Amino acid sequence: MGRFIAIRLMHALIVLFIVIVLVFLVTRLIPGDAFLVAVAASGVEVDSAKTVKVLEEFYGLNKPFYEQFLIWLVNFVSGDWGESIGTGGDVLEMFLDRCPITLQLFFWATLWQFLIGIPAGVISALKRNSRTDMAITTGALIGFAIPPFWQAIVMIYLFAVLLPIFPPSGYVSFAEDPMGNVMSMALPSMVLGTSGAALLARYVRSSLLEVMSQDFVRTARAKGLGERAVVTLHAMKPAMIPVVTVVGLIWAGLLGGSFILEFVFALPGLGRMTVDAIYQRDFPVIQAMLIIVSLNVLFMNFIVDVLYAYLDPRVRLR
Amino acid sequence: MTAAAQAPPLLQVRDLAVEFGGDGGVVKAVNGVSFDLHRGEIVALVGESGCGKSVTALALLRLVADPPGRITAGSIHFDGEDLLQIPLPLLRDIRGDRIAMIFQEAMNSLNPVHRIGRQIAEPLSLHRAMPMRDALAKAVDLLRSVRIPEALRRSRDYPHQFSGGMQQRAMIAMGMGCEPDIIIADEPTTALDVTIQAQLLELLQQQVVEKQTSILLITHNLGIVARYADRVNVMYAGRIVEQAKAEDIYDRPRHPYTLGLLQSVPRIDQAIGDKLTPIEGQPPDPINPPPGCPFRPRCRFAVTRCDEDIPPLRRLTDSQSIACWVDVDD
Repeated sequence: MGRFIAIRLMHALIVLFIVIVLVFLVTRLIPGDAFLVAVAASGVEVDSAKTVKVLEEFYGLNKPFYEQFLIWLVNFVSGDWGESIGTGGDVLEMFLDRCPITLQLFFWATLWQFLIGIPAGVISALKRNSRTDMAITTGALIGFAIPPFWQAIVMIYLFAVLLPIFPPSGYVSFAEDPMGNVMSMALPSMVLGTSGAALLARYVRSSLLEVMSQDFVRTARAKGLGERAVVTLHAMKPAMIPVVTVVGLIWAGLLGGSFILEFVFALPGLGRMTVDAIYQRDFPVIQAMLIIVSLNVLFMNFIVDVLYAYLDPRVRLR
Repeated sequence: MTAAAQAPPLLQVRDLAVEFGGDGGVVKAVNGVSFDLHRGEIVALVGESGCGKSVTALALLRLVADPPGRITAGSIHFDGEDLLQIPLPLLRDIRGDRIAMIFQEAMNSLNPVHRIGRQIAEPLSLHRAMPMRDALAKAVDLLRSVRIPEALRRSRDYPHQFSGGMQQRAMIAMGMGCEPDIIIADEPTTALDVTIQAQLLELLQQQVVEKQTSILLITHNLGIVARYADRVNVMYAGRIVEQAKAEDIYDRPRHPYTLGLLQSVPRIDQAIGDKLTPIEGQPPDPINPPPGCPFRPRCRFAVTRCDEDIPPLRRLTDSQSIACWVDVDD
């Protein structure tokens, strides 16, 4: 198992390096010039071509491409993520400020997904073709089909306007008001987790159904185990093997989803920061965020691989 | 044997019927099967694939997948109770404890994500209320008794690390754990090579001698039947067509199907150059069986009556019965 994890980590690091190189290249291909935007935004009447040149020299953008890359890479690894061109703030600090908000959103959305998606799938499989099954399957389809921004609007209308249980938008920090924090996270987390929960329910259902028809489940019954023990002790673990793949994909997609929802619910998280940065051609922030996004995907893939190995001994010992 | 024959049978199956329903029609996979199993004997259920022998075995512990299968009639008396009538929780106490099953294709019948030792220990901790640690120790002993080398280390392996023969032996160890009264062995050695077949069957036979276990051996292999079984039930198209002591079946088959089966198997005492005689034709379509005797279309001995009436099982001697209007011995 240790060897397996080490090999997977190596793979992840190699991919990460490739991603970093690509990110650096791609950000330089985005049309538009941050300095022109900044100069225009300042409203000061200057010779823009000249000003841009001065600024380019100041930021080292007149140096050869590979040199820029090396300088940037060394700085990035040592924690100097540069300054935001838009706000002038330290990018790492900006990131660390906003990261907890997005992470909270992730945490609650994931919890919501698992708590709803997995039991729904299990019930649906064990009572296949019943009314409960039909209701769950239909619900899952609807949950998956409705786009999150629309769900968000409907949820705000239902649970913040008609029944004012949750605040419609805004963020309250946990340190200030723990209860208010949880309440402010509730609606966005639910919306963020819904499509994942729907996907999980469907995958858990089909996977468990498949496993329940296997010979070893019959063996478990022949041993005298009750139906509950047959499902929990013998069927669930093998049934989760294909589901883990889907969990990885859902997790990787959460960041994208949170970008939209942070806007709708006015949460000052990473998503808002990134979208703002893209509008302002704020390279340092965009670069950092692209790397964070791919790091997130790589990390989730790594977790999925480890989970695979835990669930399936055939993977672990290969 | 004689003493055992006097005592009431340990397991008494009467008129068992199992149907599989689908949109395409209803298949009567088992159609009125009756047989006895006494303490300390090996009874074989023989027939070609699709004759209903495995379904019969599964039905004994109500393990037929429902849907699509349904046990529609019959009784299975074991220890004074009808296994088809008792509530499921009581049946679960019997499953794996007093009646154990050994399935064919051990590869698929063992759980791929659990260690072998744990799978063997499970019935012990379930039925004997053994702490897991003791049950695991007993599992190692059981593996040793089915001659798995390095049993302690091997008990921590997963099924895919075992060879086919070892998987099947692990299956047998799992079945023997609670020292059941009855072991139902469904093709326990199919797909294994002959030397391993012999080893495994001797292991089972040893159980019968040492612990007075009864074994219901489901197989299509007449060689195994001849060697290990005390009594034989020959099945065809969901019915038992001949019941006899093993030696009688080989010396004096009385049903045309049994005769056909024996003539289609090579024998060591056969003259060189003698041709095997296969049974012509195919088993009947299970959804639309022909009227009358199901073996009629393939039977060399058929008389007109066979077209209309299904022959019931009739007793020829104390120990031999056939379901046929004629008797090929005449």
